[in-house]
Amino acid sequence: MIRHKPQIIVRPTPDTRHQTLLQMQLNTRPVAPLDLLISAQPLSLDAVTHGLHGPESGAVVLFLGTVRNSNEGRQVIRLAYEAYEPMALEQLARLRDALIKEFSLTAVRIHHRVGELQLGETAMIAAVCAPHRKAALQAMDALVDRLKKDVPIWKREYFQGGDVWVGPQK
Amino acid sequence: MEITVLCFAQTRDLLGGPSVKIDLPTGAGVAELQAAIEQRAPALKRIPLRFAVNREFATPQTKLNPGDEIALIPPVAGG
Repeated sequence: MIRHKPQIIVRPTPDTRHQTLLQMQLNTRPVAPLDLLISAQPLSLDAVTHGLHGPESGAVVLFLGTVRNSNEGRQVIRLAYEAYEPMALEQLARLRDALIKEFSLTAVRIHHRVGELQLGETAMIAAVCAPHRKAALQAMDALVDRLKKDVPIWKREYFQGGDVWVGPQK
Repeated sequence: MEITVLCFAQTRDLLGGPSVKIDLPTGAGVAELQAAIEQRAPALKRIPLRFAVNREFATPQTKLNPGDEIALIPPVAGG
């Protein structure tokens, strides 16, 4: 059996615009953006887009999944996400690699939040880059579809009157 | 053999913790594990469960070893 280790590509960047005050105080290099991230901290659009596309890209598609106030007729109060993080990162890496190959993408980044999220908060930010628009748009559609199928991340919906784990039950 | 199974989402609620230890005959596979955990928490039968062995989705025929990282994967809902 071939074991796949998570390949989390870190692109070093000489740009220091995103250095935090603490990093500047410590005189350290800025943290390079991660392609794949599962985080309990609020997601940053900057962290996803910073240094994302090179001159070979003609299209960048961004997707934000946000917490909606209703679902299947229920009035949603908040959501709680959890992940089987090591496997989720491996599955995200596999998804990224497959999309790059299938759609000839030049970059893919996926950042997913875990923990409690309030209405309107961002649960996921995904980015894909390609030389041309159609491939990038199609790749993003495929990315979200496949993520919802094979990446071990779960969502508990708290609504007026109860809570439920989202997903098909028999 | 005793194996440890990681439980997430509703499987954690139904089995009462983030992991459970299950005793299985040596050489048992995922199908035997599924029967054993459904016996422990019959409500799991209502959930379309998948299993992961060493972070890969497994089939009912996948054999288990005591050192494997085994997880219950109820329906996922990322994004």
